[in-house]
Amino acid sequence: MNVQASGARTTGGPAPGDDASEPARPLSTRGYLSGAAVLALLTVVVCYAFAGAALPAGQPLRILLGIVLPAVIVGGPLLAAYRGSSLSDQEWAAGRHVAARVAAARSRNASIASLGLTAFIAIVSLAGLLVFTNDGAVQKTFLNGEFMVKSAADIGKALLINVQIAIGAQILAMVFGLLLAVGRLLPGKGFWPVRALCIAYIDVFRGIPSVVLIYLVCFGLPLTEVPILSEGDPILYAVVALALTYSAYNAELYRAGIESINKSQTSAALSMGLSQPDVLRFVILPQMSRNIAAPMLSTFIGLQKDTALVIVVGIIDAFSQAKIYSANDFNLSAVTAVCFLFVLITIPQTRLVDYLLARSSTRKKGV
Amino acid sequence: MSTAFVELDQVTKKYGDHTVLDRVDLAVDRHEVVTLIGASGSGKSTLLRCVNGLETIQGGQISLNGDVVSGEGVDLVKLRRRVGIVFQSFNLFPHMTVLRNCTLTPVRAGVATRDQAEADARVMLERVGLKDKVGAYPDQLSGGQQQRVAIARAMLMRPQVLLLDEITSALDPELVIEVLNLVRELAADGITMMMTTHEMPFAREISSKICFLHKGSILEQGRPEEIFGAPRAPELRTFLRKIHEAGRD
Ligand SMILES: Nc1ncnc2c1ncn2[C@@H]1O[C@H](COP(=O)(O)OP(=O)(O)O)[C@@H](O)[C@H]1O
Ligand SMILES: [Mg+2]
Repeated sequence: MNVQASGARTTGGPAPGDDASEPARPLSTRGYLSGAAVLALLTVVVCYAFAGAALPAGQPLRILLGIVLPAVIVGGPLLAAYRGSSLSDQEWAAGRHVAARVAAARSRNASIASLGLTAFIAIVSLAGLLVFTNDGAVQKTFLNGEFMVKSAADIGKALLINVQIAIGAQILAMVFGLLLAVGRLLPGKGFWPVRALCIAYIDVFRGIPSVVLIYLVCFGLPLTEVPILSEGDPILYAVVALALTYSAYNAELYRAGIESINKSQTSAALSMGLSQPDVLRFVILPQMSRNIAAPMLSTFIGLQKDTALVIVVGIIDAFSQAKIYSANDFNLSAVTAVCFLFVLITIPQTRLVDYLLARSSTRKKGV
Repeated sequence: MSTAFVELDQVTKKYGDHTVLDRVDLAVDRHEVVTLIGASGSGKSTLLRCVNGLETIQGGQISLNGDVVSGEGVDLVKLRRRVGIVFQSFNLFPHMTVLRNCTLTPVRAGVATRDQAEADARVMLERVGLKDKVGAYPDQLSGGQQQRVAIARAMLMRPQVLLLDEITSALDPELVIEVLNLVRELAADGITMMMTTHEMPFAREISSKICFLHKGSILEQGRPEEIFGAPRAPELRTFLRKIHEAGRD
């Protein structure tokens, strides 16, 4: 917009400071309008192709859904943009400068609305075109309702394994991560070995891919034949393996959270005669938990998705179950169903992350 | 042993090679109000923080009511419960209500049960004029109100000395007066205080002794009439002239 504004000033009327006879012209509407019109036309073409692929029968329906419907949807704002543009010209000619600027602004807004709608429709139809192209090959391979329904019950049951692993690992990772973060932040010269150990752990375990760690722990520990350590259940091993990785991530979140709290808060708390552990418990941790709730939840979502990696050690989780179905059916729809399930679980959480972020930013502004 | 209530004896504080307090001697008697003045960076805040045990000192000794409270082996938590401090930036806990800000330390320190502490806090908050704000959060209060809560919070530990570090510097001019009035009352009650301030008329009115710090040393100290009326050290004269030119005296 700014570029446009300065452009309009140099090419159009006199600069604002000129106290010249004529005031600055409204910003141009032509560029927006023609862009929106061209894109709308292209989109109608794509829609027509999509309608043809998706609905092989019935030319009238194809014209209705492929041309009339998109034209009506994007046509409204486009028409409004055109009207605003010509109204602006008329008002300007009549010397009503403010009215001309208002009309021009409306026209630009309508063009932008039209562009947004058009882009949306174009992307949806392109995706649809891809699904239905080649006689619906994509749809039949990935989105076959029959195969999805058939596998749904077993996949749903297997998903409980993912849920168990995710929750177990998250609890462990939150506790262990906090210990690591506190260990890393311990003050005083005497604690340097503890700090060094925590830093080394965090660096190493953040670097190892989760899938490798799952492989090592789940296959390795039983081989050691060390009492207790080697006698666990594979799911427990998977929980531990993921907790090892994610405690390192969480430790960094905690650390950032603790460091984000103003040093003067610690100073004030200490100066009143609170003990170090009390300062941590009553002053630092409660403030920190507000700051890190959103990033912690984001990391947890990552952990939930990583539970699908247990397929490498033969645990039958949702993905593994779906893979069995897809191998038997020579069709990937069961695996697509797993995608839907994961998305279904994670979307409410990502919405919650956004909500928490929005809330903490209004809180910081002192509302 | 000397008779002063708070006594600094050749106190030296360094950050690395940088000497911030250089062999400072200072004695504060019970019920006295001592004000530290001096340019920014002269070491006023550091001196107060040393008395509270927030900073360790590299030389000399600090004693409080006859007990040595500096050096190795001092129970800092206990010391800090005897020495209240209020900062320029209030530093209330933003996630706690005013009441909880005031009761946290007394309860955790075991000087009062929760009920007692709350009753005490309500009395103190009424005294500082914030009876109706007990349930509010700090960000719902004005700066002046927050600072009064901070003073109440410090007073509720019944400290033997109260340290006030530029407590009005972060306040809008119209809010300064309410905080200064409160300090006046505390002084009238006989609370022993050490403070730093830029409010020279106030320092003059309330202090029994003024100390001029310059680059970490006390260059001159005396009664307010002496310091403001007949300053001797050239650095002090320069400082007072600058304050005068800034219109703050
Ligand atoms: N944490 C610190 N580390 C290093 N230097 C510091 C620290 N705190 C204060 N100083 C230095 O100590 C000197 C005195 O600071 P301060 O006591 O805050 O002065 P005043 O309160 O008189 O303005 C300044 O030179 C300052 O830079
Ligand atoms: Mg200071």
